[in-house]
Amino acid sequence: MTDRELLALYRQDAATGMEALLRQYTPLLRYVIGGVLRHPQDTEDCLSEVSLALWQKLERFDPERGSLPVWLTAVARNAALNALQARLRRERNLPETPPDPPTPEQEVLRRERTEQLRETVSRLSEADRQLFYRRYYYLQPVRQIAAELGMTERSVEGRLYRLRQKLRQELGGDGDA
Amino acid sequence: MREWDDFDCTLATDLSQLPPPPSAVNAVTPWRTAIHHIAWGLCLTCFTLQFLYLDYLLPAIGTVALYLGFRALRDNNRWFRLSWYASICKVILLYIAYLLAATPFSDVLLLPRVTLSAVTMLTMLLGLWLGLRQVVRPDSGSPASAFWALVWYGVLLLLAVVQPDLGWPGALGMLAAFLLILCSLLRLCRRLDTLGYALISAPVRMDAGRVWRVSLISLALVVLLVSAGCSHAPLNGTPVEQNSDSPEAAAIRRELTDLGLPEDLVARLWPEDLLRLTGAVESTEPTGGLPMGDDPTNRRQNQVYALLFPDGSVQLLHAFSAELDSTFWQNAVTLRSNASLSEVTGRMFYTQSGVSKTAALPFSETVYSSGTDLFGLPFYSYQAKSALFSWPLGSRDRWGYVIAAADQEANPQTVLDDTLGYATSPRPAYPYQRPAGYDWTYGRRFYYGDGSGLIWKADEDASQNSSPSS
Repeated sequence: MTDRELLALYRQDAATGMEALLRQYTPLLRYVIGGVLRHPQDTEDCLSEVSLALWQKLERFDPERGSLPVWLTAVARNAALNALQARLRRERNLPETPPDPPTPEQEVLRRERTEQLRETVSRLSEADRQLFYRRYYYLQPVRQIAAELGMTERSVEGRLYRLRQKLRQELGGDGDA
Repeated sequence: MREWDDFDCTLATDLSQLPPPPSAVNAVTPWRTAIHHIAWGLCLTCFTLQFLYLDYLLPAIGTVALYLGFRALRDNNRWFRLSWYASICKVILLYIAYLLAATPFSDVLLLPRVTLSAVTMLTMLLGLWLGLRQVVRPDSGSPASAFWALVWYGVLLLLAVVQPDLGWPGALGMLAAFLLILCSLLRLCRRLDTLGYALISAPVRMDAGRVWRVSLISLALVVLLVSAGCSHAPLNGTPVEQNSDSPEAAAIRRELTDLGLPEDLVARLWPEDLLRLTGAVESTEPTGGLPMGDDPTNRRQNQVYALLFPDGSVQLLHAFSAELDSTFWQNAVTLRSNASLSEVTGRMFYTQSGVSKTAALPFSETVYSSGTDLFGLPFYSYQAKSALFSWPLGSRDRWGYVIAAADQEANPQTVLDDTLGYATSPRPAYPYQRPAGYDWTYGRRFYYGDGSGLIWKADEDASQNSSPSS
């Protein structure tokens, strides 16, 4: 089914449409979540949560603003990142306190930083851009990146190091980025 | 792997507000690189273009692409692993085929190799279909496109076998089958947009880029070296010793000079060749008319004689200069006659570093050709014997001669033809081939005067020196 047909089916019959959407896109969701969490049980738990969350969020998806796979990838990625952060807090015995909302100054800085990052990423080569997204958006391990790109782990580490140096130079050091 | 620092964490956090564009999301998959390699590999190995060496280059690229594609998928299940093994076989078969094509042995085990190549390709496609079927969940739909790619490849193979008999319809059928394979692969790629995330890529020990470079460069180097070596087999010359003749040899030389052969030619005949010319009772020069071939002014100093023997046999002697046209790589001398030729031998002479040397010509190939006139009667028939050789580096003063026994009774014509052709190949040829055509040819005719069809009859009284040639 095309994305348009899926959304039309969902609008017609939410349960059938959601079932069709999950049947078609569960492999993608599992792939994205698995790259972040890496543990099979954690991946399945997060996938269940994402599937439930989609029931609430799919209503808000606007096909005019982006494609369905991109939106689903973002939902899965953010859910997996939240799960990873929660797991790390538990492992380090840190309190599960919600983060403080950003101040207006912090929000302005964040937007400037995001814009600068957008421009920097757009200037990367196609190969570097894919490497960048795999590492910093999909949070995939080097082993997975290397296997899927047909490279050795050493080659990927070398390219990631050079990419990181380039980004640090363009975006500024730890204090500024 | 290094631990993440604040910079890395900040990048990852900021990207939450900056999701990748659709093109980036489409590119980040476990299957796209592998399946694209397989799809391109199938396209480049199924159909070839017969110019600019693309019929060698594209299949080589396609075979390496297939290997890389199945290498990535090999850990998913046994079917993909089977396809990977088959792709390795295909690489090995490609190397063997390309190496043999650089040698005179390109037909060695041709049918088994072609059959094995077809079987490996079918195995790869079968493994692709069954492997995908095992990975993809049943409720997500089956990868039928992979199955149809297998079917159409089978049709393509079948048509390749019978196409010579089917002619144009068969060729169009092959083209249609190839296009259907392409369509199946495109449908497969679209299907994998959602199903392919279940695939797992296997770790590798050598980058794909390095595999490309190592495989293609090594193949090109080996092919070039073998091609250069096979197309240059220098004459194994031995120095010409200036010892005086034995009394027997000297006597034969006097005989031949008395028969009218030029003294300088007789002086250079090799002792073994002198022995087969002993006992000749007449030397017949070509009968009138212009010489045949494309060297009418005889710039190559051809000298042609027919030596007649008491038993009616004829020996043709053809001497020539090879100074004008020779090349370092490959040369070919071909003696052609409308009589049946046997005992064809030859010898080439040259000077290298001031030393005169000589080597026997390795005659090996016999070619027959014939034709009929308007009434269907035999018009001509020719037999040719050919020798391939290469001149040593720095050789000069090149010349040679060829001697052949001509069975004139097998010749239904009224003339005895002798034509020598000289061909050169100025550089190694790939695939291996003998020099094509002739750089020059020179031929003479010996006419039968009395209508007997023989320029010499064994029952003629030799003392009367009756010569039917006019």
